[in-house]
Amino acid sequence: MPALAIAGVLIAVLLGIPVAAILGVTAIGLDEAFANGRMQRTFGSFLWDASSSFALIAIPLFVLLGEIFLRSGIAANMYRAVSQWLGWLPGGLMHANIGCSALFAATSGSSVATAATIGTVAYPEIARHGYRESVFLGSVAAGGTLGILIPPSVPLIVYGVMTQTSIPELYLAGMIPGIVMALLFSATILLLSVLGNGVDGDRVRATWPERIAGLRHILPPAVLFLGVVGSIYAGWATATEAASIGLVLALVMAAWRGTLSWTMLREAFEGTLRTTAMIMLIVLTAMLLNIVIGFIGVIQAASAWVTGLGLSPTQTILAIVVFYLFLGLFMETFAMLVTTIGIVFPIVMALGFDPVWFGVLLILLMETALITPPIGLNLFVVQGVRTQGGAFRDVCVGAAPFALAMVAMIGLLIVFPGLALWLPGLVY
Amino acid sequence: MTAAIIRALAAVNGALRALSRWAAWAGGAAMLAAALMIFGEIVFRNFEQALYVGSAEISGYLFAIAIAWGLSFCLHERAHVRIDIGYQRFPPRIRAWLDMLAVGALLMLAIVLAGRAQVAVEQSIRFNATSVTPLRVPLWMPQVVWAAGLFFFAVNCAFVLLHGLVLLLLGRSDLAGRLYPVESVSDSAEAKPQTGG
Repeated sequence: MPALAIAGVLIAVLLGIPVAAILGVTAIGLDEAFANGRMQRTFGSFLWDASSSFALIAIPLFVLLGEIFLRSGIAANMYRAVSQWLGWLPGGLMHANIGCSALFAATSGSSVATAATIGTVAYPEIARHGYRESVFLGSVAAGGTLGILIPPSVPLIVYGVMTQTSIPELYLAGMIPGIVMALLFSATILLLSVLGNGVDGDRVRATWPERIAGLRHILPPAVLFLGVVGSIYAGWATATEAASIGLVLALVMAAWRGTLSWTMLREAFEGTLRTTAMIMLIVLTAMLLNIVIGFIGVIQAASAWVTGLGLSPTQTILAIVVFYLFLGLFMETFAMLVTTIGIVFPIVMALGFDPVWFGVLLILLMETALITPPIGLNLFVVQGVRTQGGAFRDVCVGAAPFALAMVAMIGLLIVFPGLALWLPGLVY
Repeated sequence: MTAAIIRALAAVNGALRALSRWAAWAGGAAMLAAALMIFGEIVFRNFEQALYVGSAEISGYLFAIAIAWGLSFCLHERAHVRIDIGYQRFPPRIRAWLDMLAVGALLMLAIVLAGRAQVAVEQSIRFNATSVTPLRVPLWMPQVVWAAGLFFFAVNCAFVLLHGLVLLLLGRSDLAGRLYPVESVSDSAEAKPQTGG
């Protein structure tokens, strides 16, 4: 019977049934089959409580913040400013791709938005300065994944709500790994540029006065980041409250730059609802599924099975990492997070790991999944910004070294949990 | 006759689409209003005279309602995530049928969600449920609007399904195929820059 259920789900995925529908219909089917439909009676009030939850409101607020920031036309100036600072390094503008992604990630909770924004601005530079296209595009795809690690991060909110882990703590925990990850990406670029023939392009020269003048373009994301993370760090705002602070700041900036208009707001509203309603339907149906599989004993069975394997905690974590790396090749990352968390989280907690640390680990695994083919959303996004066209294979090849850097980061986080836990430990 | 049917269906589809878009604008505006309310409370909580407008509670209602009404917009924008790893290998005619299978699955889900929401509303009315805050909001009030959004979603799913099936039965799989295809990210990275990933 379980095999039948899993086979059914796989077939549904292959036929292109919407993920949310698969989750919801599976929840209902399992409930009918194993619990005589008893759990469904609680669905109504559960759905209401979950969808009016204060913590989840952070999602539309951060998405709206990103949409407004995106439309204020700040990205192009930001890219030029960052490239003036980092362009002298071997690998030149590819470091700007990473740096800009990290900055943009500080205003956006989405990897796709980050890769699409930076990719659009950076793409013309490949031909202009003679970079090897595959590596350059790989750096954009990889840099974009920082969007979900560096706060604000939408998946971290969902993880926090689904596992009842403190979202502010998760945000603080994501910061240092985010910075280390960006540095590892830059190191990868340095290495490739120095060792690989024809990877690097020609230098962009900038004078110090130009660099100083460029700083004002870095100011907007920096102010937003300070407003959002600073208020969390100071301990006087929850993630949702921090999101509202960030949103007000973004509105003020857009008004300042003269880009605030009804048309712009209406587009931002559409984008926000498109993203948020899509995410929420998946989150809600995944929650329903988790209730049902919890009730019919799947979680206990899975935990017992893992315990029965007799692995040490570290071996179990490594097995989980391999499981997610494999799953990430084929699955849409967000769906991967919400469908597996209900079973994997209790297992990991039973082994005595820290929920905040595991949240960051999961995000790193999601990031890797975003740039590993055949299904890697960021690879698709970067392929999408290539107005001159080209083989999808280029992007996959170019992203491969960065995927290795991510695996190294995952290893670092397992060996040094303090990378994630030190900063929240200072505050909480 | 056939042409008239196709035109009529397209007209209804356009109307539902427009209505969903309006709902999305309203939902976005509601989220902006919620943010301003929350921001107001943060600012005022540092003053002697704390301002209580119940922003956490009201923004929760607005959120639930915005999402419920936003689901139809997502449907028309093809934003409900579908994996196309298997789908893309089928010929267009089969894909048009798979699209309808996808909408049918969403319809099933929508009917269950709307039905459960209706039960929640009925219970709130029967037990005179109010929120446990100083506002003491009778819960059925926000819940009715929320449940209506889920019903609207079911109606939209049902219509898109009907629309597609009629087109398929009329032998117009070309038109049906354009109704609810998998929106490949690579085609429109810029058109919809934000997703969960």
